[in-house]
Amino acid sequence: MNWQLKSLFITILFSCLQIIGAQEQSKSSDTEDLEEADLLDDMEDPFNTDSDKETVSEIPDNQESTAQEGSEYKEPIIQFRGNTSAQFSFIPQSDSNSRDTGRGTATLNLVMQAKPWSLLRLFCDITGKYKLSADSENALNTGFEIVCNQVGLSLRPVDQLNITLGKERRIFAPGLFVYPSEFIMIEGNLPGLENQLLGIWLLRCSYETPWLTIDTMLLPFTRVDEYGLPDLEAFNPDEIGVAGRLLWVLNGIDIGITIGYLDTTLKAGCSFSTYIVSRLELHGELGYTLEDEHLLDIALNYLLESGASALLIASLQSLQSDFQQREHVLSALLGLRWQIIDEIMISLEGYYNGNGLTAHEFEVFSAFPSIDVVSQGFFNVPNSSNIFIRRVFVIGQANFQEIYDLFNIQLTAIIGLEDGACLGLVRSEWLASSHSTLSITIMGFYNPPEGQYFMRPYDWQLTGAWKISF
Amino acid sequence: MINKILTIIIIFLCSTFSLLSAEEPELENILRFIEQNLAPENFIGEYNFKNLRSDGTISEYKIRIQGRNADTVHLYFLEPAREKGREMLRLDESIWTFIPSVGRVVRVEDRESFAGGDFANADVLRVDWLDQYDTTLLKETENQWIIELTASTNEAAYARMRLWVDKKNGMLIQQYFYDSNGTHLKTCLYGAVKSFGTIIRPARMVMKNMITGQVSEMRVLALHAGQNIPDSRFSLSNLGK
Repeated sequence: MNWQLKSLFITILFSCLQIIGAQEQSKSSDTEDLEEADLLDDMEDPFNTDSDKETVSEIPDNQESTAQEGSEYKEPIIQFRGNTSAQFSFIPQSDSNSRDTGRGTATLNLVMQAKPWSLLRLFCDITGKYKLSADSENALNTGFEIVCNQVGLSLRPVDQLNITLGKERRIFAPGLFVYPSEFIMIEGNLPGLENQLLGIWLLRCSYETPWLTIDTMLLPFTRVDEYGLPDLEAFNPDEIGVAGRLLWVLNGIDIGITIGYLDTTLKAGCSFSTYIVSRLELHGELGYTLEDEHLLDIALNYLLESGASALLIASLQSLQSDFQQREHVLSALLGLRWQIIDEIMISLEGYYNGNGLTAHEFEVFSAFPSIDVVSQGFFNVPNSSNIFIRRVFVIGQANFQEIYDLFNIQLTAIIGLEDGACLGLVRSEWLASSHSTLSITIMGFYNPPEGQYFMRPYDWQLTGAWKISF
Repeated sequence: MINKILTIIIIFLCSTFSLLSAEEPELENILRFIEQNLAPENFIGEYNFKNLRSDGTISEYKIRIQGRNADTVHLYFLEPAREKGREMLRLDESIWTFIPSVGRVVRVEDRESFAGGDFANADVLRVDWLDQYDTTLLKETENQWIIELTASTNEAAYARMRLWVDKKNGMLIQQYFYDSNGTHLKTCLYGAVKSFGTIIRPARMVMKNMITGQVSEMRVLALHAGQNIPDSRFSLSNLGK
């Protein structure tokens, strides 16, 4: 018994010593860091990296107070921001018979928001543009336009209820440039080109909580004039749209579901976005349209609006029998965003464009004798909605933030998997000052034989821009 | 004899446990006091961030932060002009940013650096250490407590942190941040203790990245606690409004 008790005692003592020893080892692994620290001197310059020694300062007895007890923070009634930019694009012509061309744009964008009462918000976002372009015959064309991007008023009679009337732009879809689930604000932005900021006219009634938002929307004016205002002459009551949207954050997953009647057809979309592991985000979108407008129809509309000859329009219309009706159109996107380190992020997306041309349709379309006329203008300024002509694409982007000094670099590629056609963008941006940003963007098309970018307006263009924010 | 030894052991073990259990509430109180001062409930504040990159460039931001609590925070960039209008929203583990130039909302991650500097989003938007870390008192000196925080959840931004706390007023003086390999990632120095109404806290924090040598500074310009912030401020659909 005694021997057993002795053994037990020795075992317990040995175990205790082991535990204490292990704790001491972990605690004293960097015992040099267990000395008292000094409070940071208020006057010390932390950016003087030559000096690692901190000086000690006393905590002031009469501590400075910068707010009265119970004081209320006053948000400014009017908040204002804006920017002005100058952008010039150089467009070399591959055809030796044509001259190189150029295009310049001076832009002023003003954004204002006012909250005269806690339940009322007024907002306005307007862009003015002066455009200058030199065509291949060296003729200078100029033009000025002013466009209303957003304007309206928003009422909040109770905290969860928001009623907005006006023109508004809000995108929650997670895709990079193309949003199959978003049928209300369809225009995305390619990097380095003129940003598309146009909203849509609506009456929105929303129930809003931090985790859940339910929107109901009336979309009365889908056609706008050159100023972005409702085109009342073209107003057709049959084109009035309605939509409902649900945004729900569920267990760290953003879920968006939208359903509506717009452009005289039924449309629906759903999306999700979440981090599956640290630094790796997964997102997806699905879009459905009962009867979609065909690329051929869009081209025909363009010809009608631009006053093309009746012969050309009739011959293009003759192609319609070769094209499928666009019914029950499904489009999908699945993507990953990987933040490798804080400065580098890579995005990769696969996109199925349900409205794109099939192989047969593409063959017929590209063989049309006056296709260059059709494409002129229609594809002149590539944006996210008219560069997806075929069906299957891979979209990749690499972002390098402040990789050197205050330089950002962004590499983007959109590759058509059916034909190997590719659109590439390289954008470099220098944050020259707190107000000023300089950027250079090179955009180029690679089009293999029988590739979808045979309609490209140019092989490549170089765009320089200087933006001043205020 | 054996009985005596056993009695001594039992008394020793009991006293050790009682000491440990007596220590925990005090540590909890210290950390709760720090959390409440760094991120009080229903606060609105204006902060200045300055980032020094290793190539010598300095970028500066002025930000308005509205917080319901550590899990529910909204940020609005006031300066520089090129970032004005950018917003961030934190709801629990999720963070989103609103990009005004394209009118879009994008989900971002907790560990990502805040405004391109050495403060992580978790350092600025979420100070709820008691929920995410286990605490141990490493050392008590004449003037300071040195406390170790070890991550107890996968959501914690750092595997381990070490805090130096002034015993006189409960203010943070210094903080070390470690990864799961024990690498010392960052050091934060605290200073310029000020009172903002009922809140007394360091108004200046300097974060040094021990790997890159880069330095970031945060200054509290104004802080108003106990504000009436509506829930709609923290609605995802209300970003950009």
